[in-house]
Amino acid sequence: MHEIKSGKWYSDADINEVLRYAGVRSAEGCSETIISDAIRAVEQVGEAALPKVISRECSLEIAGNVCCFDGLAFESQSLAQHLAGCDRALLFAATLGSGVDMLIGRYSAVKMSYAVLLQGAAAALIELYCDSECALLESKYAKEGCCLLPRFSPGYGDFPLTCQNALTEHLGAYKYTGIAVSAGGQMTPMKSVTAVIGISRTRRSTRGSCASGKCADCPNVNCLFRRV
Amino acid sequence: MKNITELLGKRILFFDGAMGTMLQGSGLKAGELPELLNITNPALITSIHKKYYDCGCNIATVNTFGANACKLKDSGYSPEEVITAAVNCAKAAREQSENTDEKFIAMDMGPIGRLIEPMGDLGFDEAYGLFAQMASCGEKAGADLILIETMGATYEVKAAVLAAKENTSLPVFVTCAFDATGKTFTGANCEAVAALLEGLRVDAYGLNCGLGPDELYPVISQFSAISSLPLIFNPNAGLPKQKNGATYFDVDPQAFAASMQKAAELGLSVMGGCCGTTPAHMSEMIKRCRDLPARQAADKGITFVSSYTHAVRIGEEPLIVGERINPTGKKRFKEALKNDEISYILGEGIAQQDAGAQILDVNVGMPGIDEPAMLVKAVTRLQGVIDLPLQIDTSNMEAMEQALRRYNGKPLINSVSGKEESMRAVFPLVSKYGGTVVGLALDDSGIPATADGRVAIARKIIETAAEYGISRKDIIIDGLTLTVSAEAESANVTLETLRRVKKELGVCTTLGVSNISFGLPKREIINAVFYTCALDAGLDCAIINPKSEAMMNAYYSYRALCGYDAACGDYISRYSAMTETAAPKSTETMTLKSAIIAGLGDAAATIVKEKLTTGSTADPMEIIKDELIPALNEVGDGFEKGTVFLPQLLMSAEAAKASFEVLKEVLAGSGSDEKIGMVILATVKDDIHDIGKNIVKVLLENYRFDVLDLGRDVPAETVLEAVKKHNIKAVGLSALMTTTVVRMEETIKLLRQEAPDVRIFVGGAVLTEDYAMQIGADAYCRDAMASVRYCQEIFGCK
Repeated sequence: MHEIKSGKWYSDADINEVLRYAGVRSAEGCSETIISDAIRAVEQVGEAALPKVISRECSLEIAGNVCCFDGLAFESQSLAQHLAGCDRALLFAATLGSGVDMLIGRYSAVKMSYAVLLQGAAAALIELYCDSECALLESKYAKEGCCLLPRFSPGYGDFPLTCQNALTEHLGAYKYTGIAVSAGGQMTPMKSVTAVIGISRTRRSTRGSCASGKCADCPNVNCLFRRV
Repeated sequence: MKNITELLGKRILFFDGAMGTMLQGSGLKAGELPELLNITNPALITSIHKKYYDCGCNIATVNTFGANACKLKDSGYSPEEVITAAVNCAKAAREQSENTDEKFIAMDMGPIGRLIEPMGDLGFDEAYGLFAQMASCGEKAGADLILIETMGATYEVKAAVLAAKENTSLPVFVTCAFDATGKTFTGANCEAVAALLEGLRVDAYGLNCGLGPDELYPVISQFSAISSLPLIFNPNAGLPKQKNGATYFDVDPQAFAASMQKAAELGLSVMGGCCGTTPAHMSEMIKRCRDLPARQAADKGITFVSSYTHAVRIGEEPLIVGERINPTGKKRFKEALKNDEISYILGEGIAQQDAGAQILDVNVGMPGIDEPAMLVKAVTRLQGVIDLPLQIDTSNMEAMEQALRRYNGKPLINSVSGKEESMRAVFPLVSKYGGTVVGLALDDSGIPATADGRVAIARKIIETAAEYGISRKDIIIDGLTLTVSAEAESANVTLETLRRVKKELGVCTTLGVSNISFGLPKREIINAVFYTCALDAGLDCAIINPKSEAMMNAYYSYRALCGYDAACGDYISRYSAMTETAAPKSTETMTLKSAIIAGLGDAAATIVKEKLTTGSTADPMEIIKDELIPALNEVGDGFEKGTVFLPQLLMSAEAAKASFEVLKEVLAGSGSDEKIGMVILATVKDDIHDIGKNIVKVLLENYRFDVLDLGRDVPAETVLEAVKKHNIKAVGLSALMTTTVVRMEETIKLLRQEAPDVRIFVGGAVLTEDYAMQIGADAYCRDAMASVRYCQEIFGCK
């Protein structure tokens, strides 16, 4: 069977995850056509993507449910709990770029069965990209003896989606990555991620850190996409 | 004071360095809008401008990067107040500075911070309005030029340039932000940006921000090689880095100046700095570069057309312009236009791109339709799914202007003729919006019978275009193909015209090839030979059907034979693959049902054709009832039980659709092709995620529902209007996020009040049965099959 090209940034994509995002609950019994289409989808998304990332370290002060990042304040109990014990954090934004949205739109117009595989591939690749960027940050902070907590994004727990605006604005995300927030508060390009990453001197996540095992901290244990 | 454009080319001019970096150094806090300092601390802003003027900069960029009504809406200040104060700061600095050199003030316009449709949700006209307001305020306050900068999206650049040119008389400079691969963040390369901006006739352009001078050197080199206009280079002081939580840039003034000197040797007109650069950086740069020669901008003579990602160079190798988006002689296309079936047009476009077209002709002219509205819709929707340059093809001048205005790139324009009236109407549009225009070799006396006559008209077109400031590189001549069966010499005259236009006039050529065979049998045979002859005579852009095997054979063979296909690589990859897959898949052992279940569209269509022609089951309704519907039911049941997954369900749906398309031709007009009823689908206001809704659409259509797809980000009022207009029984609404479920609830409320009989089913990632009931929906559909089942129930189907 055809395999994903090696030596590309997307070479490590997990096809089972792509299929899962595309609504295939088990690759067993799935036709070979669909599996090879999923591989093709990863390559097409990977080539259409112009991945970009920006992160900025901020001081962090937590007072009650309010977390303040260099003067930028977000009120959220779950965020405050997640970041407890950190005095610094990274604001983080990453995107695959609008070429991926256009690619999915193209196939949505003519071949929906492939569009859902592209959508699955894009979902898997933005995660892969974020993980690899976080791994770089993690090794940088490891030198200072710090660890990075899992990414915590607007929309998790009671961390409001409406914080997306201030977060991207603070990072200059549009200027550097092309991530914009629509009038309705949604991010474009659609395959974009924003997050807060706690920098901890004392905590050692027992359940995985920024780049791996991030599902373990999520309370939604019945999630279809939960990674064990 | 001189107009700045008079100095371009005479000497290098110097922009200032960063404003934001200087303000952060002065203690600007997170979340504060830097533009408000124009009003709250004008002395600070004035002092920064003065430092830049004092070190030798010629242009102060005023502190208005984000001073648009969108960003200022909660600030308590209007754009006019902020911009006037900003220009006043620069004026004060100009007066205070002891620098005696020329000093200009640039009104600065940065990106709005939202992407324009279809990539984002901001309307093109809305973006235009925001920029128009800024530009007018800047001119009124006394700016000498407009700088549009740090642009990543070409569509936003176009809105800003049109706003600046239509609302002020100031010179317009534009700089875009590129990454190290030479692309902006929406994927535009240097040639696409150059083609667009030169088409729009800006006064100077180039790049800023993104990276440092060394990283951007390859990009500015590319611009230098292709640009016919003055060039600007304003890079960052290297890459942003962080130390102890503070951002800094890693290139010091000396290193910056050395790198800028190297870049200046490529030929630059205006130089300056962006993020991280300071008066010290500018001072060092000016010392080194002040006496270097300025760029001598000259027409490079390259014929470009472009999309939002890339440009196509005409005249370097044979190109194919896909001709299929055109209703002439196409019943199905006319029906699609009449029914506003835009997806059919998109499908035609995508199929032609897949078949090898490099440019697509778009013609939607037909009696009884609103051509300007339809052409704009076709062009913008095509640009949402296809990245090829388009050829805007219309004789309706209003349609042409509106389509040119909304086109994201530099299009081909089809066409102008040698008639005075035509040239008077078309050329001003070309010089305003940019474009390469097809010149038809005919005039008020008709089509000359000789090549002499046609070449003379072509010459007249080129000369008249020059009076409108349109370079000959932007004219491509159509020598006109006439039917050979009506006039024996017609092919020879066309070919001679081609040869002479190339040789005597030195411009590019185009031709609608297939006219030659009108009225003859087996038209493809003669078309392909005539096409080959035309290529040999110097045809650059062939307007043909790229789905025609015979034409593509001629194209690939000609390229291989005439040195356009290195080592015959394209020829080999096309035709060796064909031999492998040439054997038609046997459908003998396969039933229609099994083909649909396996999701094999081609096989399913072949089987249906065989059934109809061989007469094994000649009744189309019987095929539907006995084979199609049971197959769909089996797959649908499997999906509901969890044994068939979404991609398989959709593949089967597509195979069934391919079968229906074959049957439709037989059923057309018989009345048996009737749908069950119409269902409206919409993704609610503020929500731009539409994949779920699109899946539901495919399935509903498969089950013979007529779907009116209102798209995404749809206001409640639009849904209501459509419900009333079409007397709709069922509406499906989709919302992805918790924030947009609120909009769903509002839509349901409005429908309940104004159209109480309509049934509403909802779906989306965050919805649950309880949540759906809570917001007043009639049904929660967890997936596409559930939506089908619900609609079947409402319409009383089994």
